Amino acid sequence: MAPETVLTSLISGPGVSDIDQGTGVQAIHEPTRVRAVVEQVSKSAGQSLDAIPQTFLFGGMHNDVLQIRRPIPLRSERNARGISVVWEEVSEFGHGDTFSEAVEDFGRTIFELYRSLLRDEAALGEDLLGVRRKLEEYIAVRSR
Amino acid sequence: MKVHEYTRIENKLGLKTRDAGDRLSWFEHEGTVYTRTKRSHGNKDLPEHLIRQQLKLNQKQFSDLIGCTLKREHYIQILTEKGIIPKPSPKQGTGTSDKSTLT
Repeated sequence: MAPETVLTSLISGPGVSDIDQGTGVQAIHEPTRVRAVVEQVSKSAGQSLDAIPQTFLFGGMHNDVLQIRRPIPLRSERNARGISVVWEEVSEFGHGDTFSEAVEDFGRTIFELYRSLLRDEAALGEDLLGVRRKLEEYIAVRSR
Repeated sequence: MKVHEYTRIENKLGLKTRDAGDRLSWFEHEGTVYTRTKRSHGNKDLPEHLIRQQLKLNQKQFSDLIGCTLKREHYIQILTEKGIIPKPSPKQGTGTSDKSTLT
């Protein structure tokens, strides 16, 4: 439920009175009721308003060898194990206890993936050849 | 996913790693690498569904893999059915390149 909906449902009933019916401003007189409103709105806001972006562009490869040719679209997800950032197109992810850790992990993983798929020119199946082509679109060797 | 569960998958499928410190593990069949996934770094748990997607398995198949009923041969069969590993042909090899492998 959205925070404003929770608030609307809570600021009615006993212990609540209208101060100004014209503007919709209301007063809550009972302390327990105030506490309940604050708790409910905080809880609801915590569920719906996350400081971590659901989608974002990754462009900060901290690497001496590789650089980002164009930003990589990632989505983030919370799970019981922590936070993951996922590059859907190539099914690659970074994972960590925090958002920063997950992004950092993603950068290191992408470096290793690139190194393995491009530098070594290994024998690859079609699926991984597709990953390699996609990596070449987004990542390039840094010119010295 | 616990570290020991990942290690079990690694052993069962014969996943290979390039260097000791690397995060990626590779599934190779007849000289060609078809899938890869990511090892746990340190003792951190990894998100199971993301590893499952990298290995191209559905939930049931992945549970079987962790639970010991799905073996390497069956995994090859699954990847072949999905078209990830080309079906064996007497005149045609399976890989797209015959250069050096990742191991």
